[in-house]
Amino acid sequence: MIFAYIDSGTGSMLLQVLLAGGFSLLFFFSRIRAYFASKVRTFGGRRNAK
Amino acid sequence: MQSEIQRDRASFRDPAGYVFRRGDGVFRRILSAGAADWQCFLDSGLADELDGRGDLVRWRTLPAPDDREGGIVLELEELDFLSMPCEWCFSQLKDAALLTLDLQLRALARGMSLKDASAFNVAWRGGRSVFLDHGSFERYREDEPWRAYGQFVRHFLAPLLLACKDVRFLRTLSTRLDGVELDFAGKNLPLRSWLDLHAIGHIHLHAGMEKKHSNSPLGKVPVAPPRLPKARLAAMLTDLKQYIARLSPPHAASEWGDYYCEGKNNYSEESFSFKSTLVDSVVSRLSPRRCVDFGANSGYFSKIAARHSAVTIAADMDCNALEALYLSVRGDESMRLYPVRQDLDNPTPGCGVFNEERPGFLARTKSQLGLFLAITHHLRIGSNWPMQSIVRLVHDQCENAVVEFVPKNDSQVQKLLRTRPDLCLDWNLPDYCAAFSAAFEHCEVIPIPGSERFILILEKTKK
Repeated sequence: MIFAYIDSGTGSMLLQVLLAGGFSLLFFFSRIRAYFASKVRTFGGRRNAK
Repeated sequence: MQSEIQRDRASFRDPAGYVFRRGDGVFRRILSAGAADWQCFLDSGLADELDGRGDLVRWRTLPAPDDREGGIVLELEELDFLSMPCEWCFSQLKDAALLTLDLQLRALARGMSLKDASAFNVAWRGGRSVFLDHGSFERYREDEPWRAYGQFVRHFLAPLLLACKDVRFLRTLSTRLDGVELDFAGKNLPLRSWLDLHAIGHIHLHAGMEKKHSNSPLGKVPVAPPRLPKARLAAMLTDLKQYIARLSPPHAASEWGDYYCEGKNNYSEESFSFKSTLVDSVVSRLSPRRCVDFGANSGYFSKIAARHSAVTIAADMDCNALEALYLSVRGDESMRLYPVRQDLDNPTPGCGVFNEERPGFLARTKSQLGLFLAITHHLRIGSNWPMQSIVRLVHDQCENAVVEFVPKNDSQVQKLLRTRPDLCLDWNLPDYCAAFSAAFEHCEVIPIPGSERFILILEKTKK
């Protein structure tokens, strides 16, 4: 069944599944890194305030 | 009596609906094929969310039509000016890409999805990008990849990455209505793109996968789309959004972007102030609905015009000057100022099917007032336009005009004549004025003090 009126392309759809795996992991790790980076900044800020 | 319906020539691909004009209004008809998706769009709360944020062209639903076609008819907000992606600067294309991804992520969160991701679905309300295709929203099918992903990459990511190398790549979009072919993008990206995970994945591998599967025998094409969990798709799109937000145009010297900075032009403080005041007073007196500044540079005079004109279009061929102008009005809906990349030697032609889908630049920019400040000498001397063609351009495009005459002894003209023979024997003030006087009822010639330049105020009918 054709759902969209544009040609979504078999190669494009398959690649998307592969990329989503990789880039979602990358995204997940970047969030973790950002979380720890903010914690380090907060901790550093408190220490400097003392 | 109801006026006749004129169907938008670019609105024929989607079987779920189309856009049409009736009288002065713009409307969208959603046909029965798209009715369920539209209802879901309303029920999901996405319509209210996007309307509240101003991300979508405003609309109101009209009473059900009693004609044979039926469906739902929406009356749409009339936008001031529709520009094409090939006429945008880098940051405009980037903002349009971010808007499209943002809408897709918001849609996913509410059980909807965009069924296409064309750059033509984005328009501008002042300096703010708005999505104009209400028919693009469909119900999300569980674990299905985004069908418009390939189109998004062709329309946004590939041209942006190419423009990171050289912004002049954006001009080639005028011949690529369905975006940049991925194999072309891959071949033209710099070698360092092979060190960039996103460029490798979204462009190089993508081009390879498209090539590999484009000639698959019918039996080998998967009948059902592959499965992709929604959370993973959303994470990939969020990552892509962050990646695009980090992209920036290359730093290149702008020929005209800083022309109005001190010491970069031929004006003394007195003459520049006189010219600014004169433009301000003419625009204020005429209060045009639309003013077009041809050769706007970074938009100094466009901004003066925008104080009194309902809509101002700033056209220039220098991508870097337009970039600076766009960044100065970005996000500002109140100043209806529209930067447009345009080369008068080769303005955007009509594009698409029969060259009629999207009208060309000149057809879209008829105005009540045109500003031709220090531009006509480029056309006459730089590009050998006959004087009649310059008069025709000014006459055809606007009812009134402010035109600046730059004489041959001006250093800007001397610069043009440095590398070409002087063939323009008619380039003098009397001939210049005579040519315009023949086409306009009123022609007032005003010298700019402290300079040898003149301003002509032209009106077809004297107010």
